[in-house]
Amino acid sequence: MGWRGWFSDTNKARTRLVLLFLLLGPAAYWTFLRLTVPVGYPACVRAPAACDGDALVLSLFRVDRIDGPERYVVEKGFSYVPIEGPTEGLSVGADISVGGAFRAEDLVVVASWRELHVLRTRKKVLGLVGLALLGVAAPFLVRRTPTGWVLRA
Amino acid sequence: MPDLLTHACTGLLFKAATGGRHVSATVLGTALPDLTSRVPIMGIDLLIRLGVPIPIEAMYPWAVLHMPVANVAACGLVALPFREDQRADVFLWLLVGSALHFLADVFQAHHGEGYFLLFPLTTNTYELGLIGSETTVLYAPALIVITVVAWAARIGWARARGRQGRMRP
Repeated sequence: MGWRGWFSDTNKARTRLVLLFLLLGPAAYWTFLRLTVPVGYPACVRAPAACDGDALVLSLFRVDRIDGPERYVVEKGFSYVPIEGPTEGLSVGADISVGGAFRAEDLVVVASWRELHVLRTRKKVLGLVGLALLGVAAPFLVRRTPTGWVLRA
Repeated sequence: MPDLLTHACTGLLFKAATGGRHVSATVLGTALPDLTSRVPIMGIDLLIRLGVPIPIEAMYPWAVLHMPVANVAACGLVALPFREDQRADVFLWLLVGSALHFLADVFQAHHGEGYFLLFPLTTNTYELGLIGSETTVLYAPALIVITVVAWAARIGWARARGRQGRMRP
């Protein structure tokens, strides 16, 4: 049986099982790792002394709040990280990447560089436009027949 | 990741250059990793922020759909409802589209935080870091124009060939 045979009506049920295993196996393993093996800032918070002075990169976070001229908090996926560094030019909700060193004393990342992602909003808009176009086009590209879906183009 | 529109354009340009059928499957393939991973994660994130009582952990499993192994499975599961004579081809072109997606993604730089291309075999991340994470936004309008021109040329060429074929004795 060639690989195309996997997609025959005869083997469809077996193929579905294999594909679900290929999908759910990595998903379960990934979730397990996310829940049990902290990396980056959460790992440093668990063992601050061992992490003191370590370099951390916080890629594509969002400014959650600004606490003063040298203090702000960034957030991604409901994980919050306090930063010590200049807040000039920052605004709440801005997309940002920050690099710096972890300070165990107060669990703060002392920023040595930052990058504001000013085009991020435009990127999200383009993504939504793409999603909308795909949604509009889908009914014209696929039709349902009694024996299954059929591609039109 | 580049935006969805840029991904779709890469699929359309690829098919304009290489020809053949199943354009829609290829384009869907270029969008599939984001559609099955980023969109649900952003949706759950939004619902939590709106106060819907969903555990944060509900976002975690979706991330694997933006990784090649689980994406192969997703391509297969999307292909299964198609009619038997199209099913394998749909799977194949969804895979090609998804490969274009990952290729476009890996060109970007995220300060060393790359993509988990070989998960679950390894948790190492990979990226070439050749362009910034938002660089494609600047080139998207030009890419859209190029895509439209390429397809206009392709359709014009196909029609001209059709006319020539009909004129032969």
